[in-house]
Amino acid sequence: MADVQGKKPEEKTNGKGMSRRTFIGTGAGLVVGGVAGGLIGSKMVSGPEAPSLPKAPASFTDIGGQTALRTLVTSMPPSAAYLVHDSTKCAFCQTCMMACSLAHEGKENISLSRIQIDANALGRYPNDLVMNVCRQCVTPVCVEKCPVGACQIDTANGNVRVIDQAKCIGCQTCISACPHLPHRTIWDSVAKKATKCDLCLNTPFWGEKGGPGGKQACVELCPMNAIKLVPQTPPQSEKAGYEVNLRSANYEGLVSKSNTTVWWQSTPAK
Amino acid sequence: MIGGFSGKILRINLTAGEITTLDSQKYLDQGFLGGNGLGTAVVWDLLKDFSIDGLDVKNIITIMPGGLAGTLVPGAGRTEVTNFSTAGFPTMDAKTMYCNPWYSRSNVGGKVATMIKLAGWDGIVIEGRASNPCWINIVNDKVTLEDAGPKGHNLWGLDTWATQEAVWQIVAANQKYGGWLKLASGDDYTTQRPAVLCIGPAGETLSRFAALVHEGGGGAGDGGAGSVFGSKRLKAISVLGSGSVTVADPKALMETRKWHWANYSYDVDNPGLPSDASVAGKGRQTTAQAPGIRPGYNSGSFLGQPLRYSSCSMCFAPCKNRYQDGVYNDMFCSDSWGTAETPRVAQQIASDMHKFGFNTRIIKRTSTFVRALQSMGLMGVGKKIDSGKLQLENFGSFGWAHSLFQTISDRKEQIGNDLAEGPIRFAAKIGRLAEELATGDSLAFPQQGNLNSEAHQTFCGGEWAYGSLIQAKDINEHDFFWNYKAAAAYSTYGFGGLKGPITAEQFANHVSDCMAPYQGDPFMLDYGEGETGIYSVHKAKQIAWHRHWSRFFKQTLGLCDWQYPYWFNSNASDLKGNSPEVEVRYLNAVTGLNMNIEQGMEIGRKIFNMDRAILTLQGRHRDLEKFSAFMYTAKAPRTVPDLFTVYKDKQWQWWGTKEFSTPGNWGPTGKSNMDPAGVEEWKTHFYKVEGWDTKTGWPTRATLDGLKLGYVADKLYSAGKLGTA
Repeated sequence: MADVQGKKPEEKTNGKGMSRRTFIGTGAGLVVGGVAGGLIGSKMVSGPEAPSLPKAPASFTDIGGQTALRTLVTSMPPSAAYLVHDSTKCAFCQTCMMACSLAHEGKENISLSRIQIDANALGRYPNDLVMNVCRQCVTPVCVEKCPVGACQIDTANGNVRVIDQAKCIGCQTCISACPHLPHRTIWDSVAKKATKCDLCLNTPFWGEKGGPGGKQACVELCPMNAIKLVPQTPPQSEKAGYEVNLRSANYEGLVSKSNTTVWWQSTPAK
Repeated sequence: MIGGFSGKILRINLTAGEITTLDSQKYLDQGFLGGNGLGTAVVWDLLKDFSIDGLDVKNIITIMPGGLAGTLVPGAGRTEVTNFSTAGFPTMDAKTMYCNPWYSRSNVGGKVATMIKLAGWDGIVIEGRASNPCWINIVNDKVTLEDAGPKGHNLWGLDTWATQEAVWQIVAANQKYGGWLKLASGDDYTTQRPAVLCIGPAGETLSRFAALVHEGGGGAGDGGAGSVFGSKRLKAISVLGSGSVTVADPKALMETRKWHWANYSYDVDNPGLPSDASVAGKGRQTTAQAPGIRPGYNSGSFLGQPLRYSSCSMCFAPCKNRYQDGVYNDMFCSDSWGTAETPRVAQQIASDMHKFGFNTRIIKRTSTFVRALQSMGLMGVGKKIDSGKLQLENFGSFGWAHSLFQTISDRKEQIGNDLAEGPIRFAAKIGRLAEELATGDSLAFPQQGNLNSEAHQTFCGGEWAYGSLIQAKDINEHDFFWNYKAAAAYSTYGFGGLKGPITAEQFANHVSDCMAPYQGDPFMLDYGEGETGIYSVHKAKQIAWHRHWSRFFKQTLGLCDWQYPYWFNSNASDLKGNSPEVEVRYLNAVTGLNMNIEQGMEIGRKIFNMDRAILTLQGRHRDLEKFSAFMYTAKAPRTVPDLFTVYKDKQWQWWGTKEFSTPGNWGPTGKSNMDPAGVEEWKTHFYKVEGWDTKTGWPTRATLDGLKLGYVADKLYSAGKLGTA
């Protein structure tokens, strides 16, 4: 499990005498153009202090093959920030979901939330709950597949992957293309359009500035501090990277005073 | 439409199999803004005859989310349940002692309220009785009556946990949780499981203290709501919503929530006990106020187990836990089984108790009563009270408790059948009720057989005891309780490095200043027995304030009494909390009604009077409002929540259990007892404050007309029960 706070007592090294945290700290600018999963494996890549690049083309559906993929990568700058979370810390109060829809849509609606918490009240901890955020993928298939360029990279705002509602034709290509379960692109069954996490760039019903340099409704209102915005690009593999340890030392003390084992260190990331 | 509401109530008649809607707008316009107010107003309209038994086919059960539920308001995720009680409490007339099905209420947290709102409903009303076991499947506006019997989904007979899991799978059809589910209502999707409110075997066999259970440990138990479901052959209601709840002023709601959390909540990353010096001063006091309350309230009993802090919808003070094996998930202090071999066994028993679907407080009292009868040699195989196959050996074991649950819910043996009628009826049948209520030895039910939740909560002369006397049920409201606990801890022990004290006078002055429309009278907080104390008009005003506040802010808007009102904040320089400002800010942000605290209190008074009218039509009378005999003896509980404020010898003092219990300190005879004549004085004061007839305790026309309840006065008049004084 990654540790974005750097408070984990034991830090694993990358085999070169460099801890993961050190790697994050010194890695800025090392890699631009890492691709999901297979290309960069579990390495952390830098957040982009990346130069502003040309706007992504309308569609990459005709691109195929490794060479073409590398071309695609270099023309799709990574997001300047990412939401990460600690599912073991979440209390399933649903605040993040309601805050998201309220800030964006002006109404409370879990199904319109860009963050989705899947929980089973009768389940067994920690496998009773999974937090699902839009990963702002380094290779955003939703952007790649959108036939009309509605799903795009907002280069003026930290390369956040967004959907331009005015352009969306409701074809749901981005929804079916999202490789994650549940898909992180959201279907608005009333507007008949797709939407997705924009890191709160467009929150007309909230009086805060969003985006990579601003605030996010889910982060700001989560009472458990279980969501965090980070500049580092998390590992892009399916089951790791965005699930991190956000618990403080004090939190540890309360949870298991009589248990000296720091139990969550061995908790497998989801 | 008022923000937060859809304008529609789902109405289901199980006898006819009819699914219709009620327009909620006319109720909202009168201030019945959800929850108990909406439920009671609907019951008043739909039910013409209130002289029904709780198990009568005509009984109506309403399931109404609080008015602020389904929004970001923290601690507003509660759902009110109203019904005519099957539990009932006996009158004090020894000749005609019977269990009256007083109009009752209960509530449940979890996700029920949010889901009902997101499905597009302001509430649910259930009438009639199905011909066969059924359950109700609500997916947005698509509502179906489903077969719960063996030819259908075969839910009848399942425990509450298995029922919920079965319903989840039925609703999902062939889809799997973890992804987006396409819903039966159309082009709608969700990742959420339905919220299920269901009964277990205890409800199916009409145990009079069966509960409605939700999730692991949530439940609405008072009034025997589970047996009402059972009598209607209704196994469960499942609600899954993917729609929207409107909010009048989203920015104000977001800002209020941020302000509330930033200034009055705990710091989750510094969640240690306030008395823990290692964290003192770093974290804020929990919104739930008490020094012991923090995320994972029960974790103290189970240290060493990894666990998840768990919340009801939108709450930022998670007071429940979820565990590695799922045992004891979302359970609470009231679920703790008193005598068990080990804490682990206590957890297992508590889970078993919820699976059977019992009201936890009453089944626990039943267990101690059974144990007492056994100890006295009255119960056993072949004894005066034949225990049949009930396991009486190994008290404290899982087997002992499980045998009790199984025997009661089976109702196959005489002992199980008798116990399923509830401890009061059982005690009456074996001829011990009068003795028990006189001595309080084994069945200390202080308000005419009303459950004694905990000794300190029914402290004689406290707002809990008087409130329960007037409401004909355990009010189960923790507002004064938590604020006193917090202030007491601050004054006596200090929160770590933050040493008190706040003086009793400061506390009484500050809290009473928050108690509009009776603000400015600190003697409302006098728990002594002097001229300004528990028999005085000041105490009558406190109880009136409490009833009105609870009826609107807690039970109609759905605000949890573990968070609201919040009067005392140890971390503020002036030691003040945020009530009533916070309640009003949330109310207006969601609804857009631009109300003030006095208007809210007036609606609470209105709902309380309608409730009183129903009780009056059921037979409630001043003569019935008497404590059980033991409450006037040394057996009366005098344990208080750490400290209470007392005005004695012309000065304010903090009094604890020791002071209240010391002979000569308190009570008319110097024995720390309540005075029957004093209670009668208090009743007269209270009825006057409410504008009721002091001879009967019935509402008057002038009072009801002033609340725009003239139609209620008409009905009382027709029944010959309209107060005149």
